[in-house]
Amino acid sequence: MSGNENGAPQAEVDTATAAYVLRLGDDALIASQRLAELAARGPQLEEDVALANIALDLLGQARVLLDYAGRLEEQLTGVLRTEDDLAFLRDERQFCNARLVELPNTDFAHTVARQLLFSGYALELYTALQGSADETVAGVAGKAVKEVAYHRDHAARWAVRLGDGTEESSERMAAALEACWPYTGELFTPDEVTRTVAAAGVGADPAGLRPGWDAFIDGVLAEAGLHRPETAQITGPAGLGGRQGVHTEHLGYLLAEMQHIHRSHPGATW
Amino acid sequence: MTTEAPAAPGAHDAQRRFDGMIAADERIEPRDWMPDGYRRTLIRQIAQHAHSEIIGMQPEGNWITRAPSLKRKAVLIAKVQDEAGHGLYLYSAAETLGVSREELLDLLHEGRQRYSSIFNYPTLTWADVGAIGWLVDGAAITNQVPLCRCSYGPYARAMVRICKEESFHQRQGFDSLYVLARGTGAQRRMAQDAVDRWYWPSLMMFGPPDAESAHSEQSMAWNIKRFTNDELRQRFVDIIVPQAEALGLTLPDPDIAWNAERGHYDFGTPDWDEFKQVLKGGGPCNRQRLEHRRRAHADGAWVREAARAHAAKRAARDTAGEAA
Amino acid sequence: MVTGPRPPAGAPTAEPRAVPPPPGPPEPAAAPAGGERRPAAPDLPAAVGAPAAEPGPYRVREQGGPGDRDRRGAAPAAPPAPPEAGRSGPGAESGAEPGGAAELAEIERIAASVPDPEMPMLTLEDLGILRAVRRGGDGRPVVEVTPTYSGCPAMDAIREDVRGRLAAHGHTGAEVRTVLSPPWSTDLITEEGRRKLAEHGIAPPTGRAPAAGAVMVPLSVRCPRCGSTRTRELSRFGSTACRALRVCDACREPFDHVKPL
Repeated sequence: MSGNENGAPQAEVDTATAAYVLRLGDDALIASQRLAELAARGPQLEEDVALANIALDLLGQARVLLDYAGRLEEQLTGVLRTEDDLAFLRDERQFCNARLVELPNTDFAHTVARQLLFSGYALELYTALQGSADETVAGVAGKAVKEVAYHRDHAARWAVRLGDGTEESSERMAAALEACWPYTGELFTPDEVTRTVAAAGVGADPAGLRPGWDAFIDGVLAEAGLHRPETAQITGPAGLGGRQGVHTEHLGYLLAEMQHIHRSHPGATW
Repeated sequence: MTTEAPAAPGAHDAQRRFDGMIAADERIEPRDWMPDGYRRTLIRQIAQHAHSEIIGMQPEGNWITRAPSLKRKAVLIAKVQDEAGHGLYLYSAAETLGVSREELLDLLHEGRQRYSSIFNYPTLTWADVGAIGWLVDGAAITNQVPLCRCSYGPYARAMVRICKEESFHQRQGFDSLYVLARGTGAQRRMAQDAVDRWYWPSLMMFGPPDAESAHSEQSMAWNIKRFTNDELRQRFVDIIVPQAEALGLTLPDPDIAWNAERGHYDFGTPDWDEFKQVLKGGGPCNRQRLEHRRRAHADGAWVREAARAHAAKRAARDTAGEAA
Repeated sequence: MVTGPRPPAGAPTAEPRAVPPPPGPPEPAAAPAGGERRPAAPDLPAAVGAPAAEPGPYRVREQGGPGDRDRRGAAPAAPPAPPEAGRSGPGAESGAEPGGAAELAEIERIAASVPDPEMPMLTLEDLGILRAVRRGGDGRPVVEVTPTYSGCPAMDAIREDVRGRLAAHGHTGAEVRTVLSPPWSTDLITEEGRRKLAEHGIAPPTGRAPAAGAVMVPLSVRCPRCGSTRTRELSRFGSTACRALRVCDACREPFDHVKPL
């Protein structure tokens, strides 16, 4: 990964880095929260174990990233927000996760589809970030790469089982992919933040992650006997999306559940 | 399930050998001959233990999405993962005795096999999670340590492993209550309220008083059970009284008093009528726990079916590939 | 230097509150192989908690004051209690001069011997998660530990336990920090660690960790009980993140396998 070639002022790079790291943390946190809903509700015990494991890996990544984002922010604003401050005290419009990860667990196929598409992206992302000029980001990526490889593999196996299982499972899997597909474009859309961090060698250009993701997903779909959905991408109002804090209606409910107890006891330690 | 061993000439030798092993405190392994009653008792006990692990995921799993800090969330997810993993492990141990997990789950769903009745109580607040870690896991560990010497090999070895892993979670529960007890007024009250509700049910985890315990005698003769219900209950109380003091919380039992003559704490009598009610299905959450379990199983039927269908297709393709 | 989560600015750097951990179950002795004698009954955990100066809410039945109470093995509630027995007792004086290399070496020795909270038969050294012990910028010793997996919930407990044990040996100034790079790998589990895993019925990781991004499928995993390679995977994910559940078709024993990571 190259260094700060375009010569953006360091302050700009630092601001973008803090925003970028926050996005990574939010992706992992919200993805984890969705999986955590499934505790004791999996289709078989092995799946309860697997989903808990994946949720825990993602939460671990989220914690490190959010903590780091908070400390980066402190250098800019002088105010420190901890991992918990960021997770529990921000409102809907301040979260910058990709909308894909907040989609609900409508059925097991939806969970699998969401995980397949997101983990596929995360593996490309963290593989690239291993070379980040930022030590912490590179460190997180080094661990995440191994874990996300298992996550992606797990989702892919299920996608194949469901796609190439029974007629019912195939239909459900196809429907789930159609529901998730419109939110995948956002993963690979560059903006000011990603351009700045990519130029500085800290982050990865999202568009550059696409070919690897496409290849892997197409491979899984082929093996599963499924087709690429043709559903159009869904952008938020005014073309804004999760990265700009413009989410689906699902996020509000998710956050209400997640944040309620923490917010009910201001200043308390747990 | 198994049928009666044939009354062939070898059967008496096998029984003598089995009796000898029990008398010598040796381990019985899956391939050893064992009396039908011993096998049935073990299946019942191991299955009950496995069912308890998976039903136990519910009252705690309830709070994962609402955990008030990311650290607590992580610890709780790990705990629930642990329980599911233990369930898997124990079902496998039961399978060494000639039953399948499917059969055992069917028995659970039909209400014909039990799980620990403690999980029929509701987790009403965040502090309940800590109380469960401290009291319920604590009681479970007290029960399980003697089982590490159980005569049946796979179960004994499972207990050794599970005990080690559960002690981490018990510590986390204690830690959580410790922090609450030293927190805001609302947190302190929450912690005390949780302990007030979970103390008596955790005492009941050791089963009815010895005089009324149906299975105990035979289980003790077979070296499956090592100590009586009352002995274990007493041990548990002796452990938790000083721990409650360390927490700065009280136990809702006015009869707790150190008895220097006995060298143990005296404590009150659980409401055995409530216990019987809960065992019969009349506890606060019996219906709900089983319904949740049945629904998860039913909702997952199409998934399991798909996995089977896919495996069959693959196998057919592989054989076709070999034949070609 | 890459670091993991640190307490927020303004928070006390030393753990002001010492949570006396409830004692874990004692170590049931490892079972000998086949035809076996069972190990002697393990003692149940000693009671924890301060012998209160006052009797607290619980009356003493016999006459006589709190001094008559027979408490087994209580650890004090207020100061940090060392979590494990079997090592130098609390308050043992450190032999090394502060500020020297000998001090660091002793700190490393002590930290290395702390048991992992989730798999207490292994020490931090066995697991390969004790990264380094060095002198920080301000001259204070820094102990660096690295998590096995991102979500490891035991990291706080590990940091507490290391600090607690160091303090018990007179090293109260040490800082314990989480580092992420280079990432932990099962390759870092020592030979001793592998031996202990197998001894406790857990199959150690087979072969070397896969390259980043690859998922390894182990070709043969030996049953830790009977040694047969006729084992199969029941579940890729087990009770903890690093393990898979397998079963031996030869002796039918279910067992955990540490997955190469």
